[in-house]
Amino acid sequence: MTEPVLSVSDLTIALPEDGDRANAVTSVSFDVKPGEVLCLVGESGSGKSVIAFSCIGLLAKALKVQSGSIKLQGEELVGVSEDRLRDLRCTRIGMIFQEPMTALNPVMTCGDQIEEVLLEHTNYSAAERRTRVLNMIEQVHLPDPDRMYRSYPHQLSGGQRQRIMIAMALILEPVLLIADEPTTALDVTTQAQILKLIKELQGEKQTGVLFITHDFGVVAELGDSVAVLRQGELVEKDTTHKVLSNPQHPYTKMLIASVPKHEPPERKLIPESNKLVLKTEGLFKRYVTNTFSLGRQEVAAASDISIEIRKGETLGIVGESGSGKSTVARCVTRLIDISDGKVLISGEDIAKKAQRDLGDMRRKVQIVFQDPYRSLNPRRTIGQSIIEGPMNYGTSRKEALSEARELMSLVELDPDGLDRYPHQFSGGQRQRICIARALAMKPELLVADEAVSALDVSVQKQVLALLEDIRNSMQLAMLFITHDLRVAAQVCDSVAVMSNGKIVEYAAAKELFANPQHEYTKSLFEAAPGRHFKFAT
Amino acid sequence: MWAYLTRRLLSVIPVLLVVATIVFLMLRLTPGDPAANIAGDAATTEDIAKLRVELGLAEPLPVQFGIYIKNLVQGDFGESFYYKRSVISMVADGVGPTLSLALFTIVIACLVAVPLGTLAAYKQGSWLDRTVMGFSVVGFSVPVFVIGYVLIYFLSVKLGWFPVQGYQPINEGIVGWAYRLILPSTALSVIFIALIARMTRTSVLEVLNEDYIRTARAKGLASRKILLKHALRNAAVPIVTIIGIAIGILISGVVVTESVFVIPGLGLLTLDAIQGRDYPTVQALIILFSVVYVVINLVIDLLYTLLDPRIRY
Repeated sequence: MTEPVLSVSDLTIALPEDGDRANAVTSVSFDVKPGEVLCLVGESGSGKSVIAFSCIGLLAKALKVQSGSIKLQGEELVGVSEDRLRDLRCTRIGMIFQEPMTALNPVMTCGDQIEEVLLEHTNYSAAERRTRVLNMIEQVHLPDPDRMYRSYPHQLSGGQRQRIMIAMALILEPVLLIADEPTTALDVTTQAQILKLIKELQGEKQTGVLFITHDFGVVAELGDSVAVLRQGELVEKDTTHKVLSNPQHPYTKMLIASVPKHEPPERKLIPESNKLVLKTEGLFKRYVTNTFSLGRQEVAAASDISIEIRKGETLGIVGESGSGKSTVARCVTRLIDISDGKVLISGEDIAKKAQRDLGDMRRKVQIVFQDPYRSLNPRRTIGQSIIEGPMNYGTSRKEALSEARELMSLVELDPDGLDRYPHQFSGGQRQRICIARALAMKPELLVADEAVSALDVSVQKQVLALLEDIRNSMQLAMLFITHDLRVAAQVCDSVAVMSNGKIVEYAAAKELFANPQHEYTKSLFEAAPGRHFKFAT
Repeated sequence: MWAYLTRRLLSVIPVLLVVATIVFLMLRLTPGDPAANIAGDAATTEDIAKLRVELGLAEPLPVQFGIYIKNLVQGDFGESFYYKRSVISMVADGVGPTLSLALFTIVIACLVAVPLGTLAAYKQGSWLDRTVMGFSVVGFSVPVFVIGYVLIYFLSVKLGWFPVQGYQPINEGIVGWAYRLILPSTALSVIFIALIARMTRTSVLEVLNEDYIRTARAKGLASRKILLKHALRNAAVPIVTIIGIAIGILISGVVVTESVFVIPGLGLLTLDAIQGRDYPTVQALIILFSVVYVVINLVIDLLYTLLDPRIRY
C-alpha cells in the first residue's frame, strides 16, 4: 500500500456566525495517492473550494478549521506555522486557479512570475533559473518560450495563461497539485487541451491531483476517483467509473441525470406556416479603430449573418468566446448599432432605425442575460423591476402588479416575493426573475444570452425546462446563445455554429448533432468533455 | 509614442492662449487701478492719468490685448509696474526657493504617506490603520498656516531647534538650505500626507483582494514580498495620479506657506503682485503655473506606461 500524498480525515471547517449553515465542511475524509487524480465534485456552495484552500493553508480569515486533520505525506498541516506552510507551497503543493485572466499579476512578465518561485525556494543562479523556466514553458507546450518569457499576461490568450499558471505550479515538481476549476473559464477546445496537459504532466511525475470541478464531463475525462460533496458533506466516494455509471446516493444520481445529453430529444417540427418573427439578411457588425500608429483598422465581429426564427421555434447560436455570438444577440436587440444588412422583426426592418423610433420593437424583443447576479438592480425590489417595463408602455400599476404575480407563479416562485430584493434570492431564482421580467413585456422574441451558463447543473436543468415550457405555452420565438453544445442540444430546434464572426454551419439540431459537416463543428464535438463516457441514466 | 507626445505638447498652445486671455480679462475686470496704487495717496488725478499712459493702461482694452498677445508670442512678458524689472527675471529669482519648497514637500509627503497607507491597508482594522486614518482626517481639516504657526511656536520659539523664518539658497550650502526648509515643508506636507496615505490605503486594499495576490501566496511568498512586489506596483496608478493632483494643489499651498515662513519664492511674489495689481507679473505667473500643470499631467500619463504594461499610447 503506497502512502497517500494527501490524507484528509474528519475535516470540519466552521462558517462565520452569520453563514447560511453552521459548517462550510463537515467531517470530510479522503485520500489522494501518488499519481491519482481525485475529482471533488459539487455545486456552488458545496464547500469544494474551501477544502482545496484549506489543504494549502489559504483559507479566508473568517473560516477556521474546527477539527480533523490534513496530512501531506504524513505531515500534519492543520495548526502548522505560516512559515512552514510557505515552505511547502509550490515546493510540495502546487495550486492552479479558475480565472487565468486575473490569477496572474498584470504588471509582471510571465517569465518573472514563474522565476519568482525559484527565487523564493531555491538557490539556483540567475542563468540556471532562466534555463529552468524556459524549459518548463516548453514542457507546458507553449510556442516560442523566449517570447513567452518576456510577455505580459494580457498579451496571451486564456489557454496560454493557464499554461503559464501550470508551469508556475509544477516547476518544482510538487507531490500534490490542487486545481480549483482550472478549465471552467475556458472554451471547450482549450479546456480539452489543458486537461490533456494536466494529465500528461501529472502522469510523468506521478503527481497526486486534487481536482475541483462542477462538471461531470471533466470528471469522466480526467478523474481516477470522484468524491461528491453536498452542502459540505461527502455523500459518495469511489472510482470514477463506478460513480458515473452506477451512482449510489440519490444526490449523485440527480446530479448525473442533470448533465445535459449530447443527443437532442425528439421534437415537433415547426410548421412552415408559422409567422417569421426574426429574419436577418447579411447582417454585419464592424468595429473600426483609429490609432495614430496603425491607422484605420477594421474588425468584423459578425459578418454576413442570415438567420430565421419562426413563432414557437428556438434557434441556438453556438460558439466559443470571441466567435461573435453575443454580438449577433446585441445587434438583433439593437443594443448596439448595426453596420450593414437587415434585421426584420415580424417583417419590419429595424436595422437602421433611430433609437427613439425603436419603442415598439423594444417591447417585442426581450433579453435575458448571463449573470443573474448583476442584471437586476440591487436597490429595487424585484416587483419594481418586473413592472417597470409594462408601466413604461402604459399599463396601469395595478394591472402590471397582478400580471407580475401571475408571472411569478409561472416561473415557479412565490408571488408574495415581489417586494423582496434580489440579494434575498439564489442564482437560479434570480434567473427565473429575469425571465419573468422579460415575459412581462409580452415579447414575440426572447433572446437568451448564455442565460443558463452561470447556473449549477441541477438548477440549469430546471431553468431549461422552464424556458421550454414557456416557449411551448406562449409560442415564443427564442434566440438561444450558448457556448455549451449539450445545452443547445436540449432546447434548440435548429442550431447555427459560429466561428470568427461567421456562421460555419446552420442546420436542424437533429441533423447537426447526428452528422456534423464542418470541420470546426466536428472539433467542438470532439473537445466536449466526457462525450465518450456512458453516464448512468 | 512619439506621435502621442508631439500631440500632447502641441495641445499646450491652445491651453496657454485660453489661460492668457482669461487672466488678462480677470485682472482688468476686477476693481482696483494699478496706477492709483503706485502713485500713492498724495497723487493728483493728472499724476494718475499720466502714469496710466506710461503703463500702457490708457489704451482701449482690445488694443491692450493685442499688444499683450503680440509680446507673449515673442516671449516678452513685460516689465513689472513696481520694480521696473523684467518679469521674467523676477520669476526666475523666485523659482529656486519655490521649487525647493515644493520638491521637499512632495518628497516628504510620499516618503511618509505611501508606506503609512500601505501598512494601514495591510493591517486593516488595526490600531495602526485607525490611527493613520484618524490622522488623515485631521490632516485634511487643519489649514496650513495653523500648522505652520504651531510648528514655529513650539519648535522655533520655545525649543529653538529651527529658525523662525527665512530661506537660504542651495549654493550657499546644502545643509543650511535643507535645514531651513524642514519646517515649512513639514507644515505644507501634512495635507498631502493625509491625501496620499488615504489613496494608497484604498488602492492597496483593492489590490489585496485580487486573484493574483492569492496566486502569490500560493507560491509561498512572504507577506512583505507580496506587499512590495505584487500589491504596491499594481496599486501604483491611482497613487501616482493622486500625487500628480497633489503637486497641482501644492501651488496654492506654496503661496500661504511662503508668506508664513517668509520665503522669497513665487508664492510670495504672486501674493505681492495680486495685492499691488502688478498686471504683467500676475499674468506671467499664472501662465507659468498652467504650463506646470500641463507638464505634470503629461509626465503622469507617461509614468502610467512605465507602471502598467497594459497602458500604451
